[in-house]
Amino acid sequence: MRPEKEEARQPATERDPRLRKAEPLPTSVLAGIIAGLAGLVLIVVGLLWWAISKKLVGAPLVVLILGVVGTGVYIYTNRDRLRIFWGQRGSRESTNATIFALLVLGIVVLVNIIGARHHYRYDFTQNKQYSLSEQTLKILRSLDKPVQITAFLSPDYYGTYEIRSRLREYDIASPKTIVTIYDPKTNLDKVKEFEVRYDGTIIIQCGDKKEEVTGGSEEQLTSAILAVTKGEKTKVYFLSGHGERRLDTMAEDSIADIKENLQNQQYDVKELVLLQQKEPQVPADCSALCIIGPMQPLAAKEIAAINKYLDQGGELFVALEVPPAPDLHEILGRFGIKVLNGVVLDPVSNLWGNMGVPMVVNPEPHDITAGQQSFFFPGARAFELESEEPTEPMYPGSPPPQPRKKGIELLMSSESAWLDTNFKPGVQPKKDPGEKSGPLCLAVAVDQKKSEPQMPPGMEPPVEEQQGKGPRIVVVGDSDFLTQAVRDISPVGIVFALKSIAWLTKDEKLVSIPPKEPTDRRLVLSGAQLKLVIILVFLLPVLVLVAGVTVWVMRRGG
Amino acid sequence: MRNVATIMRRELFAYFVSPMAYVVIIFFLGVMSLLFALYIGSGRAEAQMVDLFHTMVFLLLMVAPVITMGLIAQERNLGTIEILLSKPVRDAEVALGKYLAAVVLLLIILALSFIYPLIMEKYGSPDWGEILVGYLGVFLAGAAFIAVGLFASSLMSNQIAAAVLAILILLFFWLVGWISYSVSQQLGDIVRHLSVFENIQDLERGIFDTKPLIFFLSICYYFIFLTVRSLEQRRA
Repeated sequence: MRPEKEEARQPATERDPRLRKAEPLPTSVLAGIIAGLAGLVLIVVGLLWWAISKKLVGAPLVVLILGVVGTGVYIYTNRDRLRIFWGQRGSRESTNATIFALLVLGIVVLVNIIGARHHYRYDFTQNKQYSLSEQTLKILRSLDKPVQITAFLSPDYYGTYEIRSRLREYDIASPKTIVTIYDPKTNLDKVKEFEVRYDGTIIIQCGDKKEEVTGGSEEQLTSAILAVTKGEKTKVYFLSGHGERRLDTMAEDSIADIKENLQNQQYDVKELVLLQQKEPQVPADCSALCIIGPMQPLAAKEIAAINKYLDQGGELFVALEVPPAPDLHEILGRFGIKVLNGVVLDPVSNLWGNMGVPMVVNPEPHDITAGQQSFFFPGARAFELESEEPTEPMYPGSPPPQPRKKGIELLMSSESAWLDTNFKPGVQPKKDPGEKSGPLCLAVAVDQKKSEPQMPPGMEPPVEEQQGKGPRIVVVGDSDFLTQAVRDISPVGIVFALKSIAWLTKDEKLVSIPPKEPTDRRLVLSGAQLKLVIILVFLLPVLVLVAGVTVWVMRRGG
Repeated sequence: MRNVATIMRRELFAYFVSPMAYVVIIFFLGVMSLLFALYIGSGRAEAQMVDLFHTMVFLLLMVAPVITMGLIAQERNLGTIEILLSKPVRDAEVALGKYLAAVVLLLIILALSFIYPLIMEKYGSPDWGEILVGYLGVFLAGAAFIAVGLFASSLMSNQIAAAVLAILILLFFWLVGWISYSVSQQLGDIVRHLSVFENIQDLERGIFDTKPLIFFLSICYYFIFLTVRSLEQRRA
């Protein structure tokens, strides 16, 4: 009993070795532990590197060797501790604990895999800055083949962050989109492989089809995806040979921007010179024919070729010029579009007080005018649309049908406008008796593809009756508003032309992916305000310092 | 839970009666204020926090191991951990109490850093949706870093070694994303999922996603679990 009493008198820390204060580790052992940890990290990095580069030479080999050396240093410096460790019963328990830890790790990994595949995502930014449009999402979700998006973006490229963010959304939106981003400055082999010439290039591939875009707007990317997944490009021809607006020059009176925009949207833009053909014919692959500002009349053979094209269900976009430019009556008249002779002048609704530049606000709601509020035309002519004869009621008791216009009057001038028939530059214009008063029609759209048979309310016409074989035509009374010079004031004309072509070709890709306008978030501070802010932000850590010193002094005093 | 609250209060008290909390807060706010002042003074500043959030996460990567290094390692060094473990308190409660104390300190740091968006509100029009989701991201990352730091602290009896170990583990989670773009798509996806940088990106921009949320919470859970196992080994 005596020894037990003596033992009881001993301090608790001496009776139980576990309660003894741990002795500090020798420096060599500590250094060995740090070397060992660094070695483990290097081994992991080296193995990953090896797996990636598929070659165990150079840097990955060096990293692995360093890792092994670090681990070796740990084993050597801690050899005594390790020997004791492996001799203990607890080591076996450690093995069980390790297996348990690995099991839990497996469960955690599984939860993450499920979480990555089925995740909820919401853009909390004010104007949904990073969200893709519904149209893009619809296209991405309907992809049935993998689409590889390879972007070459260096950190120095303007817009890298925005484009990366956007590409990330494309990546997340569909399992079929595979986004890879390379820094062209550090991946020269990839630059060579993809034949990339510019920083900011994005290559979209699907099977053996490939598209290249620069800039990476949503409209460009989605259009390119459509182009590689949907087959051939839509071909748009621009008639030439009658003094039309030029496509291939950046002169102020050219329409090069329209060409560039169409090409960016993956359209194939071509010039068509019917006069050069022995038997003029609009190409069979023409999805839309554009006649922009002809100054000389078309030859009879050309008119016949265009009429034939339209009779076969072709699509036509015409922008006329004021007299003496031709009115293309032989073509447009057949579809109920009467081109009036004269220049539209508007003393009230105009641009910058110039009555020769009438302004149109509140256009007719239509795909072509959607999202646009005002248009202006530097020198325009007007149209009238013929009406169709009323037909017999389709069913007993239906109201008698009213005469209907053969198309839609898209843009109407104000009531104050009139059609000046003897307009002379430099002479103060005035409205003469007999001249047609506003509102005047400045743009029309005719759609003979879609017949609209009168049906009882609530009944849809059969599908086969909805689709006619006639043409679609958009005519606007001015071509100046499509030029580079006017674009510098407002892009309204170019947008009108692009939307018209999109409507004509029924191509969904141009119609509704408006670019997101970033909100102006600039911080505007005067010099004094800047000083105040700087004082304020540095005052905060100083106050924390004061609090710390106060506590320290109080505790010393206490 | 009472035990957890008691341990948490004890640790928090220890933080604020020692220079630890003050040094960490001063370091964090000092660097952030310097960067904020440079940003505001650049003349091109906008009322957005994306870049500052990124810096915050990087600073937390260094600060979290310092906050946690002493939580268990110091007690092991002084021998007080055995006294604590001999009390009627479960290992999980010890780990959770200490973890929550560090998380509260993190919350205090983040609350103080709220001065920057408030200044932006005064002189611009920041997007509060973006800022609040960004703060959620920084908090989640910080909480995950603390869990890693706590585990490192449970393995070591030397505080510096614990901090170095935690920084090494966190650097792995930070840098692993760098190689994701240079590898095959499949491997890149796996590697990207492990990257703190990749996981924080969406939250910093104001996009809430359950994927990074699960990732950070997983790290928190797993490293606290490992800490508890480590304490149990100690008790055995």
